[in-house]
Amino acid sequence: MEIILFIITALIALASALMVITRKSPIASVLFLVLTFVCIAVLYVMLGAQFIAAMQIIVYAGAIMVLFLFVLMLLNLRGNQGWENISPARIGLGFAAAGLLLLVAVAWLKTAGSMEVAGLDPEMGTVSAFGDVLFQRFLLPFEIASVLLLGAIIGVVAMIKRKPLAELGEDKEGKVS
Amino acid sequence: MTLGPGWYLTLSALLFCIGIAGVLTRRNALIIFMSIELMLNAVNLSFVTFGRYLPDANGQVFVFFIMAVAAAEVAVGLAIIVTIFRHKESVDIDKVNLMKW
Amino acid sequence: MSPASGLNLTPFIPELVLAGGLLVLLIVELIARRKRGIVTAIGGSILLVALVIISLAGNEKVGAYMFGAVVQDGVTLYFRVLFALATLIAVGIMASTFKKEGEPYILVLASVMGMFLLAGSNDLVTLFVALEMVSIPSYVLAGYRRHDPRSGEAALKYVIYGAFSSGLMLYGFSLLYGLTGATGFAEMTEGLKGALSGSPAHLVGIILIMAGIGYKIAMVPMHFWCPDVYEGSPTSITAYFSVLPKAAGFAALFRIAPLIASLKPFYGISAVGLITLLSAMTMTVGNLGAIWQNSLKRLLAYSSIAHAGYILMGFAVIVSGDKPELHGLAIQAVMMYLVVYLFMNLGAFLIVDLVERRLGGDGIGYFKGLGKSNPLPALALAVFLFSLTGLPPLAGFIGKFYLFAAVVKAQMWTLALIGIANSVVSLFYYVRVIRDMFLHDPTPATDGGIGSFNMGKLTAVLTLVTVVPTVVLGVFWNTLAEWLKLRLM
Repeated sequence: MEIILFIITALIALASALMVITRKSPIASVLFLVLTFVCIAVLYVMLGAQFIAAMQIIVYAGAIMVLFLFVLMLLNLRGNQGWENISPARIGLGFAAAGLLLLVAVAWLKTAGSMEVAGLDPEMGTVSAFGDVLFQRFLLPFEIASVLLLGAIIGVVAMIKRKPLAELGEDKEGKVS
Repeated sequence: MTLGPGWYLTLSALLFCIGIAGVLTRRNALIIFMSIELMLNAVNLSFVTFGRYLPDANGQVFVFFIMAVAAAEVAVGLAIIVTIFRHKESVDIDKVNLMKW
Repeated sequence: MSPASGLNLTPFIPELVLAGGLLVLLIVELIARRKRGIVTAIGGSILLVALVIISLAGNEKVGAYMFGAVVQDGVTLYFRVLFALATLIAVGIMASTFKKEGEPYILVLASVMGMFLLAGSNDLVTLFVALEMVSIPSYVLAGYRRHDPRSGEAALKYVIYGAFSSGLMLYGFSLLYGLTGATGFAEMTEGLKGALSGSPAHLVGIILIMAGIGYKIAMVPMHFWCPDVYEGSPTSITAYFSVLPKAAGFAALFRIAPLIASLKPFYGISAVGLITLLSAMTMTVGNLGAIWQNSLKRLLAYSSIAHAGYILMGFAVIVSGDKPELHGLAIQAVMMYLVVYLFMNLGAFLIVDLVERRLGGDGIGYFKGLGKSNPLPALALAVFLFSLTGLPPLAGFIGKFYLFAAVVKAQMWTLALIGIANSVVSLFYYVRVIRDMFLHDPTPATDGGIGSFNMGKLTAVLTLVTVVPTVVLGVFWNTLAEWLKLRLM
């Protein structure tokens, strides 16, 4: 039963991932990306990672996708979306590179097959178990992440804020003396 | 047949490669970013899989950090795309090519 | 380790100073907008305080902190001093460009805080978060010349390549995590010695991680972004890029070197072979690319790629790992080189920035006849370029000497020969610039622009700060070498 659920979810995830990179319109890509994210959330639940599954829906399918859609609407790309001029050589190159990596990645699965498989620890994915690890062992990275987010906020504001050229404060005085 | 780590890891590898193919072939900056999100999700899937079968809770915590950082990266990236769009009226990275690569 | 000792905050005083400084700067920026100088002054003094604190902290508090997330040792201390020193000079260079806005300084402080943590990272999670903390503010800094579309393009290329390569690196992390079941470097190195270490996953994982770190240090084949980002960014920011995030990448490489060294030969690919190949490719592509450049910023970008290649030579010795005394020698050589590189590269960009601000461009035409119209900046630039070539008696020679000594002692003859051939090639394009500066009269095209200009007090001081070590370290390098040796004990 579990295996059937996995196969169905995995196929939907793969198909929609392929749609993401082949659609002409970015909006279609975003919607397929959301579908991929939801499928992955299902897999997280099957892997016993409930908290991460919830985060996946809230952060990825929720916040990040809304951000993407918002920018798409803001830029109003409908006029000039169209297929980009992609040379067949580039497509070939891209897929060849990806295929090569896939080959290597799948080759090592033989090694993974020999991995000792432990039973599912039902406690591991719960919020309390997660919090225990996060706020002990990984307290420092957690704190750094907060400063990182502050830096990103300042960066975005600095990027979007536009000043007239005259106020840019470039040093032009004493150009030739 | 039983559902083992190999199944999840194969899916993760496939998703990762689809992401890479997207980054290398598409020229629309927004779709490139979406492909990068696909790559990161593949990474997350493989972390959670390893965490489940080792078993070890650190994998899930790593995923948490990847999510937080990816959100910041996407926000900055989209801000940059918006500023470029104001100049160029395009998100095609070939049209933004003033300097040679 | 008990939770109480895990929460010891004393080793984090420099980071706390930086975080506090960042917030103070943010508030000052909001209150005292457009008051020139204030923000720069405060930013500089915060860094100065952090620098003093690190220098005084000494080597006493060696050990792992925060539940093993960071480790405090000689290497941590060395990199923190290096970052603080380089940032101090870089902020000085930026002060001439960004006079009325505080955001660039805030972003630099956030980035430097990431570097400080990176220097001591002892865990994949810490390494990843710190590395991204270095990168994310940098993306914005690259796009800071808002009226110039090239700057936006630089930012876009930087962020796309950055996010892509961090995706690659993370997949590598996940493979190694799967093999070892740990995220701490010590446990991982131990785990990788086990049965699974010869597996393809180990090799793929290492290659992917090298791709991610290689992006930070502009290593071939992850170097494509480098010339464009360096050219498009504001020159003072380029100065910062060429030294700080690059040194941060090398700090990360130091931390994961044991993981790379644990790679057993697989289909004839060994850890040493991999790094040797990357090093040779990086310096060759960098030096050959630089020959054709007419923009000084692009030329220095390619030259900085080449220098990453030289530094990787040291890492090739570090990961060879069978002889401990060679190991120490190579680490010392890399540390020496980074210090020397800091002064000469920041100095070179300082003069390029000065010429660009005064004359309006960084093309080689703007430098023709500079030796006649403005002898002092031209002389300083000549010193930096000669030092970058590695000619005695300048600091660059000593840096290269230590690196080559380590490579030769490890009997990596091919790599040494490639390195020497590359140094000869580099002489060609560095000297071309120097020849243009001193042996040419100002060309008619730039005639209107080229006249004598005053350097400005700040630039003059910074030139002195960078020229003096470049010359002095070339003669009295022993003090530095001894200090570094002590850090490694």
